Amino acid sequence: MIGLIRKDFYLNRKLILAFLVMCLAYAAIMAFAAIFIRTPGADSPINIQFFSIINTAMFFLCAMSVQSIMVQSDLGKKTRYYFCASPAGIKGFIASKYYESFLIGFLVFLYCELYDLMLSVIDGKLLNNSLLHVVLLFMVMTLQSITLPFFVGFGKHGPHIKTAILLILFICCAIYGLFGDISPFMKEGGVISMLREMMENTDNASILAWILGAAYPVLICVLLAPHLMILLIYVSFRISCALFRKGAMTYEA
Amino acid sequence: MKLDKKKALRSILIFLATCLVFVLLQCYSYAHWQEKEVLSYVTYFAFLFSPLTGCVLARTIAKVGWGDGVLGPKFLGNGKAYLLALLIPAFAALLGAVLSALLLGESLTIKLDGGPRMAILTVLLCFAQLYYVAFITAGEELGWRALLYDQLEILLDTNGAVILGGILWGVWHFPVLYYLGANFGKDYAGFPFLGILLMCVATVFLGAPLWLVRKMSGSVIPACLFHGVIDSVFNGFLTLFLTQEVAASHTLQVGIYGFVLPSVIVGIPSWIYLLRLGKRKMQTPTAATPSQTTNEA
Repeated sequence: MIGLIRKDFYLNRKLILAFLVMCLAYAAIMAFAAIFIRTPGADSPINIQFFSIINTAMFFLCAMSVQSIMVQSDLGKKTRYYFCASPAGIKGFIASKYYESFLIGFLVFLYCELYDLMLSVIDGKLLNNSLLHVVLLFMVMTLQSITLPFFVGFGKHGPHIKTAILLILFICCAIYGLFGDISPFMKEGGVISMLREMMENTDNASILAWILGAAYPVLICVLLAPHLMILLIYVSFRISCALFRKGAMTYEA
Repeated sequence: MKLDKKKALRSILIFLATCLVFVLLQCYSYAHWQEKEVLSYVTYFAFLFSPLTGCVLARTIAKVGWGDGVLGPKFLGNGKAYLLALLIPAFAALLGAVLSALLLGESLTIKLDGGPRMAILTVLLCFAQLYYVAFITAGEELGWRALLYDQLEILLDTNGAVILGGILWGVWHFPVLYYLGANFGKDYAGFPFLGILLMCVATVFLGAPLWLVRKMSGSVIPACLFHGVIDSVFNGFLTLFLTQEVAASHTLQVGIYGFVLPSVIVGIPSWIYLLRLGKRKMQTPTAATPSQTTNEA
């Protein structure tokens, strides 16, 4: 299993190297910016929380792209025979894809934590967004667990089908946004104001306060969400295994 | 064999030296850097992750390596270990809450303001934060269960590893016990030595199930989850049956009934099972590796 993960990291070494260089370069530029904008002794003119959110959003989105590219390695029909016969088996091979996704997400999580620490040291104020990072890591894993069966089931056409579905969803949302009734979302306490509030308060204390202040059914859903995500990942894994096996059998025929 | 013992001793010494440095740094931080928010935060996390740092240093310098594959989750075929990692500490926490309430003369009714609705939320919140806490406890588990216990077992035996490993793990908690009064408070006769002794008793017995799930699965992840449940669920469950006033006025008793006693209760059967597991492994003849088979052929 570890060998399979190592193989994919080796195959995508240039991509991972580029991603790491980008992370480091971005952190260095932001550090310089934060140091030079700051006036010693005066209140900080920079909003480090904003710096952190931009970084977090950007790198978790990048992580999703890197994950998608990495998990597609050796998913072609020709290699399926080989992986069916390998000691790790189909389950081991598919599991390695999920581990890879988690590893990339976890690396970004660590990077975001260190980035926040760097900003805290520069600004002198503690910035603690770790809860948000964990939530994002879970969300990235959930999205990956939705897309992975597509990649396994449709082979090289998987990304195209995924893009097509996303495009259709986007067009539907855009049409509704332009011509539909969006007043329920825009009113005070609606989804948009709730999202805006969440974007403005992303530190651990605010997130906890928001969770505990939510209505009882919402609260139950929020608290059950992590377990449901784990369940979703497991179901996705089983579906991927079944699709992979089916693909190998079709190739045999 | 002698070479293995030398290597094990070397790795243990490197590991303990690293942990000691961070323990001293944390003590200094608690004593002098309390006002410096960022610095105290950094030192606290460095302290929490000191076993991990020690593990990395020991494995690298003493050339223990990572060949044992403890970092791999090994979900497939190890469902029992993962289930035990969630059930044992949850049961211990519930037992601790019930014992604390009964031994302190409280009734077994929900004491939270919102009643049963709030109790459900508390339990759900405890388990929801488990994944977040498990990230932090991984810093500890990667040191204690992924290195120290294994190396101690090479030097001593399973019992020796559980006892000595547990004591070292307990003593490591000194900064939080002495400066914050964690688990047992500060207002009791014999502070802080009694607190450290009680913590050592709890860690010796909790070390057994933690190491059991680690050995059953061959991975350190179930141990991280187990530790995550301990840290997130124990205090949450206590609030179900005890009011804040009672808990605050009986910190030592709550620590003993709610933490030490259940640790001992779940620790003893786990320890026995751990010993049986070791015996069974010794009795099972090891399968020949493909390379050995080829050589013999």
